[in-house]
Amino acid sequence: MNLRDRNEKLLEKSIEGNFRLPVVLIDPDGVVYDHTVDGRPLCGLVLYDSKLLNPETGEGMMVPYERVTMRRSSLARLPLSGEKWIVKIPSHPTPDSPLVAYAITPTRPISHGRSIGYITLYLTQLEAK
Amino acid sequence: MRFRDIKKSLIDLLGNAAQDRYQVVGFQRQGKSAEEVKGNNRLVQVYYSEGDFPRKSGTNAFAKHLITFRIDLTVSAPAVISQSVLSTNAQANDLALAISQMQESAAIADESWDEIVDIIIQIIMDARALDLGCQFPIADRWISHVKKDQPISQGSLIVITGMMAVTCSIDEQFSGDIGGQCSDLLTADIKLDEEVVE
Repeated sequence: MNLRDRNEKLLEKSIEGNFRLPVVLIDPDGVVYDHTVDGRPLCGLVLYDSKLLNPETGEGMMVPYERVTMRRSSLARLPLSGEKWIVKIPSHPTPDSPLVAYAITPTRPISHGRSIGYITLYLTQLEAK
Repeated sequence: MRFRDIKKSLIDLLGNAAQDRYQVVGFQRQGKSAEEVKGNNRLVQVYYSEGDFPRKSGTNAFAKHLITFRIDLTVSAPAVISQSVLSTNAQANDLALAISQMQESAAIADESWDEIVDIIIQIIMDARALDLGCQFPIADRWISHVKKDQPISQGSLIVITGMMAVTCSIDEQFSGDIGGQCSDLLTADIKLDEEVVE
């Protein structure tokens, strides 16, 4: 196993290890993914709030900044930039919290992390009408 | 000075016309929360920004004050999807259709910001608001500039900020500073001899 392989295998601990949270993906065809390709519950590294600076005004903005990082090899289908998906993550950073639906839209490009084997999805809050 | 009365009147004018379409704040906040300005909670922040006193327009007792009020406008928006697909029983076809018809948050936020500009301009430039709601006449009421910023690049809510400059002019009077309230510095009874009083 070379270093690249080891690096990818380490994602099992860093992304899908003790810090993981359950994730459910729904692709543009309406297919629901809640398990990995090898049958384990789908999970990822979920992060929440952030304080940002408005670059135009220099003003501080507290913006919810939910994003989820997942192991690419665990996914049956990879989201691509420009596609619309629904992503469900826990409302709070505990595994038993109810899942809340967010969206991936063309508004926020996906960060691929291809060199190391992960993908980061930047989520948009979703409102129902 | 009168610019403070004009500012209060402008805040009241906008506040009375809000009708749950936006919220008005009469000062600058250190920071904002994207969650608090979502949907119709758009933030309209009004404050005195700058003023000019042309030297030739006045004397030491009064001068023309060319006022600029700045109105900062902040909106945020999520993406929008059909209600039915968020239930657990939605079929794949229904999910696919709803996802394809999902409205992007950037589009919603952009439209929301344009709408709030439309509303505020109509309120301020209304013929009934010639004096911006003041009890005294003001001159040269005008909206000189509107600017929309780029959306903030991160976050699950799209946030768009921008500003509007409202100008007017008024004659200010310089009557001098009356100072703060004085406490009693000296309390004493003055006793006068009867001879002196007579």
